[in-house]
Amino acid sequence: MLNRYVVAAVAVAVSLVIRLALDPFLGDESPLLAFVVAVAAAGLFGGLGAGLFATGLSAVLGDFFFVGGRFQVGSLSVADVVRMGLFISEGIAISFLAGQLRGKNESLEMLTAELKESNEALNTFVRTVSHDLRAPLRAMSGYAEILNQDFSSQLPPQGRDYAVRITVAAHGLDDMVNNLLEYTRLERVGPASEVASLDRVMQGVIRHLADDIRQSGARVEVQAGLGEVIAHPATLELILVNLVANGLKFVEPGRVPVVSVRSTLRGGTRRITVRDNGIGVAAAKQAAIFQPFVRLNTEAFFVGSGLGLALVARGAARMGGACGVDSDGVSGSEFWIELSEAHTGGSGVGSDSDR
Amino acid sequence: MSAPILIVEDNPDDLVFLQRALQSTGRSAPFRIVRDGAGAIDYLMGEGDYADRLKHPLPALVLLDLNLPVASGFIVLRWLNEQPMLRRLPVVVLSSSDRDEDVNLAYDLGANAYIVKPNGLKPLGEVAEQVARFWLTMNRRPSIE
Repeated sequence: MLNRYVVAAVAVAVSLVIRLALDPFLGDESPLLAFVVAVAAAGLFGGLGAGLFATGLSAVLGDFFFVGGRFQVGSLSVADVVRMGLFISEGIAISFLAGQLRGKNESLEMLTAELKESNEALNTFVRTVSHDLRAPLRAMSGYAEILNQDFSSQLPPQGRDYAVRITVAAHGLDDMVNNLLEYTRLERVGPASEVASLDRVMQGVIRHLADDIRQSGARVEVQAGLGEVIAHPATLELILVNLVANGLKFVEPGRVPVVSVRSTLRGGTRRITVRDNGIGVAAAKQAAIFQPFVRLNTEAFFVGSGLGLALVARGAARMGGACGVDSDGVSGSEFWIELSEAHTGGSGVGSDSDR
Repeated sequence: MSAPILIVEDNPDDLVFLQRALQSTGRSAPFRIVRDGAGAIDYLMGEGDYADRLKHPLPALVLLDLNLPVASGFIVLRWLNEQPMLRRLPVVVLSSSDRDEDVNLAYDLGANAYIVKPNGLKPLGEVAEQVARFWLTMNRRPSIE
């Protein structure tokens, strides 16, 4: 490519002008130092070839203008020859290193682009598959329900039981597909920019989980005046639905779930905590649970798709926040997410008590 | 005889569930079924197999799936919108897609309502009940001749 040699020549020319401008101060001292910069710039921009080209051009111009007799090529003393030789070997070394750096950079950029592309392709694939899974799923659960409703008098008890099991399995698969769709949807969410009222979001969460709360007889305590954060309200609701639902779900049989939601403000960051009285998460497993498809409890009474906390982690990260869990592994867990407070720096800081 | 609902749906399973849901509304809303977008257009124009308007009367409502063979639901919507009289016909989209793009395009093309196909027979029964109640009894129908 011609372009990078042009750039190399321009870099050398600029160095020459600078060195000429400094000539009154420097005289015969450091005749070639300014050209080293030009070689490095040419090598970084154009690779090894451009660096070597800049080295050669610099050597000729340096010889003509500054080294040995002024305004003539050649007629060099032994010291001048050593000086020239040193400069040229320096130039070659710099060109080589800069060229390598540039190559590494380029392959890194290519790799990043490839990764991004394959990630997008994977997301599209998951989205399409999840969507296409829904139609046969609807059919399965639908026919099982018809068996239950219209033919239950003709089915022996075991047959009715199997039909119920098909329905339950289909609903479980449906939850999984929906979570997968949400997970890929989060990938397309941009950075969070809206002011979200946590009180309002929690109202939505409670509404969403009303059936589960009633069925489990759980007590859900929500602190009044949770404050406001910078978030996507829909993503935040998804996160809190998952955290509260986990609190309802992962409780030893026979125990009434108690879930409490509060928030604290530290610096410009608001931490929302969801505490439960469930089975807890052992310290060794606390990092793993935020990965997709990790489920620690395979017992039948702990149901779930293994995606809930992955949704929480990805959602929090997409909004520029963080999440985690504190638990002694026995007496409940405290899940938390941290997001930017909506009113940092304003007069409304810490105005929770006003609400 | 009261005007029927025209169901435009290609998925045989969804048809079974939809018919069952409509029959159990207790309103005995009559319905006709076509399997693709071209069939819907033929039916509404009274052409080919559907020339006999006594057997195939103009519907009071079109219940339209979007993802259809031959001609999609969007094509049916666009075609309807271009017809001088038929454009008045109420169309309720019943699709498995919950994508905002599909919802918005359907409304842009003149759909009167958009319902995402629910999961499970009970929610589908509720949809059938509400649709029949609102569109066949409450809603005042336009005149189409």
